[in-house]
Amino acid sequence: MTSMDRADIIRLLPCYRAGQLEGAEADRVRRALHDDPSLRELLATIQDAERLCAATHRRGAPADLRGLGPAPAAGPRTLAGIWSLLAAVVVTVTLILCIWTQASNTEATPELDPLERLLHAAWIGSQEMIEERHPGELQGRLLAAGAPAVLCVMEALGSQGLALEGAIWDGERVARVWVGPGGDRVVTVTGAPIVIQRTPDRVSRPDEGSGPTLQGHQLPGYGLVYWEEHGLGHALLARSSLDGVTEIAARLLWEEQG
Amino acid sequence: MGGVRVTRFSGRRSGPGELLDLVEARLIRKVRHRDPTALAALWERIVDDAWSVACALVPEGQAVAALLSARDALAAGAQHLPADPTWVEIPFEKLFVALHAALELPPLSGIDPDQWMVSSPAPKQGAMHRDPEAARRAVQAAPPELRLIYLFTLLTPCTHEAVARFAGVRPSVVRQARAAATWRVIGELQR
Repeated sequence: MTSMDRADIIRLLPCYRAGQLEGAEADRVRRALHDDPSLRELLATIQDAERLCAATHRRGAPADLRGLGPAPAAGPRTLAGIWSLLAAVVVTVTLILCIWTQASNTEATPELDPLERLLHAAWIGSQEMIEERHPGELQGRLLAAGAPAVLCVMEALGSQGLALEGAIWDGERVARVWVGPGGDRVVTVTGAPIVIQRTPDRVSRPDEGSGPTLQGHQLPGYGLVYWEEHGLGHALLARSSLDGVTEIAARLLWEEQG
Repeated sequence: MGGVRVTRFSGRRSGPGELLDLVEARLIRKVRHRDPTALAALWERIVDDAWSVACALVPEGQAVAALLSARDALAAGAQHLPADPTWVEIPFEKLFVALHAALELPPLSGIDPDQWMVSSPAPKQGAMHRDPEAARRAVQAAPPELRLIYLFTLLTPCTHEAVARFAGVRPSVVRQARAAATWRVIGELQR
């Protein structure tokens, strides 16, 4: 790759991360990312910065802007409004502290699975949320744990725009599953069937041309499902069987459509 | 929303032409039949994104006014809402116009996008500040027109093509703006 090519690719990286590239341009960036680890690090930097900025700026609209009620006055807040705001802040801070405490405990526990030590886990209600902490190291661990190299290298977990987030529903079945003719798996989510055709190491949704293809792999103790959408890689890793993770992924993908 | 937000992996919605959420499709059908409850439910789906962008760009009073104009636009176009995810463009276009006016920006079509890239810092690897205050300062340090486009493409479900249409520029200009803003933000976070 010439320096000019590289400069071009760098210019395109934020757009690639934002899912704004298609076709040949996206392929070109993907190939460059595959070949050049420093580009992958830059993409990870973009990803981190954007997540931070998005999380910083996201906020819930005040109650008086919800619904289609009468227009609120755009002036100073009333005393009741201030108290509501204060209550919301207290609840939010408490929640954050709980999550932080959980995360700190997780970090401090020495007996954790090596894979899990690389993940930040937090309990919110009945959902265990997992997100990547050290993508490069996680990638190495996944390789060491037996994930196929093609899965880790081709899409470079965590450093090629991967959003590794997961949810484990604590003992709750998230979808009804049965095996259809020819080994097809049919997952019913909120009443709408999604056909998932499965081969030993590959799960796909062949019924929708535009739908993402899920690729799955069973790791010792973990299920890993991977897919790409809008030019971004997504992975769901959960301490569950591949089938269990596939169910969750199908459900999340369905909800993602909304 | 709370912890349920995990169901939105990348924080983005499906693009035009893709599978539409059945619940959303039902709501749109009801809205077309003048169902105010359904209209409120549709608004509920985007109000937090709209508020996040508006608050990041203008003072609260102007943000409220901008959101009300977006909500009015949704109500006014209710009977002709497209039955696909592009329905969000109706209120968000109005929001964009309102925020553009509140920021007192010149027409974006007159801006040379190359100047954004030229004046952006060279990307480098390195440690970043990761606290919210640093992120807020980093975004605020970007020129307002870049902030407008960056936050719209970062926080709303609108595609860059839609944002380009709102701004009256080519999609490539929005891409350049997003890239330039991203590198500037990272540069600030790495200071």
